Amino acid sequence: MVGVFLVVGAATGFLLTAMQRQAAVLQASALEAQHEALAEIMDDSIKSAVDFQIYQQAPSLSSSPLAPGNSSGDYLVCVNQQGRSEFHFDGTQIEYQQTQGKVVQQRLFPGVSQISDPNTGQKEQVFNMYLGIVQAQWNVDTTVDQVPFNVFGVPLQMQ
Amino acid sequence: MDRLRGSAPALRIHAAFSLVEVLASLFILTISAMGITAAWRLADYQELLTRVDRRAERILRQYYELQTFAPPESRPFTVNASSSPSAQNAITGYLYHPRLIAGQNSSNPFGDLIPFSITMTNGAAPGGNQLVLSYTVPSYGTQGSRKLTKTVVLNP
Repeated sequence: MVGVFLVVGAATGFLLTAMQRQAAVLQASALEAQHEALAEIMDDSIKSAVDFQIYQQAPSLSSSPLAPGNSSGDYLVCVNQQGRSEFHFDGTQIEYQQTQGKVVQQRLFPGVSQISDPNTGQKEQVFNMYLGIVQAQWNVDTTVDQVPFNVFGVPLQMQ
Repeated sequence: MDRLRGSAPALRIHAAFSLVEVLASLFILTISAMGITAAWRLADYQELLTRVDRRAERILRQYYELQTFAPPESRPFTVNASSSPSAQNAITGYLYHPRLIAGQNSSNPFGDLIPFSITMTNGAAPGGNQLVLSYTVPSYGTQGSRKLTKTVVLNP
């Protein structure tokens, strides 16, 4: 009798471990898909922007044209014909806010970490203008792996 | 009375599994465990292939953007004046960075697996320049490792 309980217990434990692992993989895959969507939104926003700026501090809510920004920072603001898109890395997640007229939509993309400089090991800011084009670089730390994301885009005004 | 005292104790009957039943259940459980493990590994492998394929596409698209829109001096590849097709220095990296077991590497908790390389081939004909990303998917069971390539044609 004890043997049967032992076998059934082992089988149940095995099944639970398998299910837990599968859930972790699915969760990681879903998180990667979310950030893939974010990368596409960012790419579209940058390419279609008629005005854009990168900031190190939170930008003012509405100024047209946008106030002068920095060469790198954790805020990216793009203005196009549809409205204003704002991306902000707050330390653990990227917040995306789209404003169309009076309608404001907000989405959060969790699990974000900054990339490190390969030479110095220092954490780099998410948005920058190196190489003369707008870039966004971040890592997504899932339960099973790390996924690097890079977005390169040239706004309309620079093409 | 003496007859009762001298007799053997009454046979106690317990409800229990027979040895054959236990062995049969063990056999079924073992087969089930093996089946679940195989299915689990296959699902993991297929999931990895799908994710790696999407990442390869994404990386190729990123370099396409860079090669197309970055200032000429910042582009990852230079277009040769020579009309003969040639390959330039490849860009290399990894498609999969699995989380390592705790304590395996304290400085970086993620490893590097499934290397990729991107090259640009210069074609003679207009629109002949293309970026080629190649990577090798790991083997699974009897299936050996395979080399996969993805190509994107650059705008002339």
